[in-house]
Amino acid sequence: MTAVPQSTGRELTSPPTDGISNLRFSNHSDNLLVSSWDKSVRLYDASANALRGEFMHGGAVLDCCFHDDSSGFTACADHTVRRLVFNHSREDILGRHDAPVRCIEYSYATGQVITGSWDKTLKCWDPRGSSGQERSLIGTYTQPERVYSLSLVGNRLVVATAGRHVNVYDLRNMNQPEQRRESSLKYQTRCVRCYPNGTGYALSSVEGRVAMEFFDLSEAGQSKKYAFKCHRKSEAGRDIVYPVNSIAFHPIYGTFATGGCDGYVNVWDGNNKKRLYQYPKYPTGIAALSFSRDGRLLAVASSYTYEEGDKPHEPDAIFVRSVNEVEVKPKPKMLPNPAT
Amino acid sequence: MPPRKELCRNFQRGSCRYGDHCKFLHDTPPQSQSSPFGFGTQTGTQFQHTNPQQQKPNPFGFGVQHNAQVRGANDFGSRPNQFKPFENKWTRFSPLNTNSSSSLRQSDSQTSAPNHKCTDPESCKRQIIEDFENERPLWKLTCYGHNKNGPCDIVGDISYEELRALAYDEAKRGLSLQSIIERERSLLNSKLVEFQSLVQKPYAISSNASISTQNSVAGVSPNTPTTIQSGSPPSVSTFGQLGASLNTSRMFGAASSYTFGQSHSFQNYSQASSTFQGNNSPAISSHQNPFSTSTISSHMPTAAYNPAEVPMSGANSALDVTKSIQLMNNTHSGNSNMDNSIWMKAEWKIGEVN
Repeated sequence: MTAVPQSTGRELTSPPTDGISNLRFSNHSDNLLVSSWDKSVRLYDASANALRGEFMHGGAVLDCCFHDDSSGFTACADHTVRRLVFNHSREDILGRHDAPVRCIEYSYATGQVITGSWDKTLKCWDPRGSSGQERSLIGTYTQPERVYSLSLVGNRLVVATAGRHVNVYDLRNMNQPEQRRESSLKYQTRCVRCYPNGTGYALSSVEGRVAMEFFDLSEAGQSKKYAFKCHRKSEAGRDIVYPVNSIAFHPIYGTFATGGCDGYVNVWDGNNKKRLYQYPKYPTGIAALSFSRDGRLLAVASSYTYEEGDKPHEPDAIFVRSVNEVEVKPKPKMLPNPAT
Repeated sequence: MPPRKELCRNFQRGSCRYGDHCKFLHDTPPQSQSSPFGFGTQTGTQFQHTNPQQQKPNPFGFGVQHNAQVRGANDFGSRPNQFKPFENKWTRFSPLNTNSSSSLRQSDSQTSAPNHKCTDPESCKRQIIEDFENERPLWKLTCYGHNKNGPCDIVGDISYEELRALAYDEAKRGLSLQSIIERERSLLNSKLVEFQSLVQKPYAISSNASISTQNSVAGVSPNTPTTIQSGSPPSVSTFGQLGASLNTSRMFGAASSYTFGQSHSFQNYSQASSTFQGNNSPAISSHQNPFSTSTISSHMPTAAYNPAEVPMSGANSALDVTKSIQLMNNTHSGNSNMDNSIWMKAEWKIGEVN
């Protein structure tokens, strides 16, 4: 129902009853998959604003992803990786980690499910076979620290872990990372997302900054990297520095939105280094963002992320807003500075 | 003449090839770059005036070279600590650059060297202070590295999901909200102290990390939230105040939301608190001198969960909990926040606590 007309977007009905850990649009339709701390994974039809299905798990669900429009995968705090088929309400366990599974991605390029966990490993699974870890596990790759975020583009996988480590893998050769890096930000990494054009990734941290990095290690490539401050509030001469929880790239324009614990969603043009838009403040911090496959809709999970411990907070909600071109389309480049 | 006086833009970005021969001026500008949204601004105003040949921390702005490509592995090896004047290679060839895979060797040497390779400890210290002054993030349980692309100075990252997952687990096990909050609070306090000691002694980094005893994690148990080692350094007060304000206002459950009426696992924090609900089990009261320097915490976990009223599944769960905390955060040093009044203030609004 339209709780607040258009200023925050349409609020989805029957949202999860506890914090939202992640949400994703499908690549095939406007179906939205939402994973939550209330141990459920819910499938919504975002355009119709209807709940289509729900699965309950054994523990908080920390991440979810689509496979195709009728099936998906989830990463759960009870250490399991599950496979779900929505139409038939079937689920089974694809495999397990030794600690809560924090992130999950499905690679269309290789047909594998990739999961990262707090047990400091990355695992690749083959979802086609029958369930059981023996059959489906393709490989286990140790990371320097607990995995906090993952992102895929084409054949590249970027893994961000605790302790500010970042590993870049080529999915075709997972035995060792293609690149081993440290984050160029100074504090804990929150989220990493690859550019849709595959040239690099954006990395956000708890210190209200986003770093734009590139895979190309040549001088030319590395000269383009930069970082910028965002999601901060100035107060009495000092900044209140909010973590940036989520980054989502617009599939068509390549611009991206960031959501922070301050409750704001900003849209940025990475090439021109400008902010394009700021959406009105949401009731509480932004836990997750996702653009629909055509970029017309933006789903915003306004859900308290526990960054201040346990405290009373606004109810967790999901808002789906229509995206206007002016909010996400890059502006033409400004003329170069006449000085020198 | 105008070209001479003008600042070299490339030099500011660290990419001027001409070095000494450049016809523009190689100097650090007075905070001239600013633009909306913080792009291109320099945060470290103090650093504007420092010697450009010091290893300047990269300003947080657009267009800054972030330690891009190392020219060759050899270069790295041969110049660990040298920065020639006016040679702006320091931004790129900072020894902490680890971008290329060929620099795996470098990353090895980084991790093995306890001291990082800043030529000027003063500027690094200043940078750390600057960072903490202006940019301390809301989320405190974070790692920190004062050099970008370099290893962390403060380790022991915890994400909020981990904290939350742990709290949920504990709640499931039957721990009271109070004790969960207490545990979180002491985690926070010990982390704040870690940050404080980094500011004071940036090169005692490795030793700080090693100070973290596993006991400290155990000490996280509600019984004695702070395993006190020695007197608090006076400067703790700055963070202490922060801690206090955080504690009272936001962090980890404003105590007002939670009543003291909860009778389970109602641990005593100090002798004074014996006036509170007398759930002292004798085992705990024996630990009532938390203010001694001994690391009592080693036997904390078991003692902490002894109170008969807590229907715990034995001390094991406590140990599990502490172990899982250890897994997450193994650098919480034993010198947690000594200033009891801070957490007490937050917690014990009823009655005096001192």
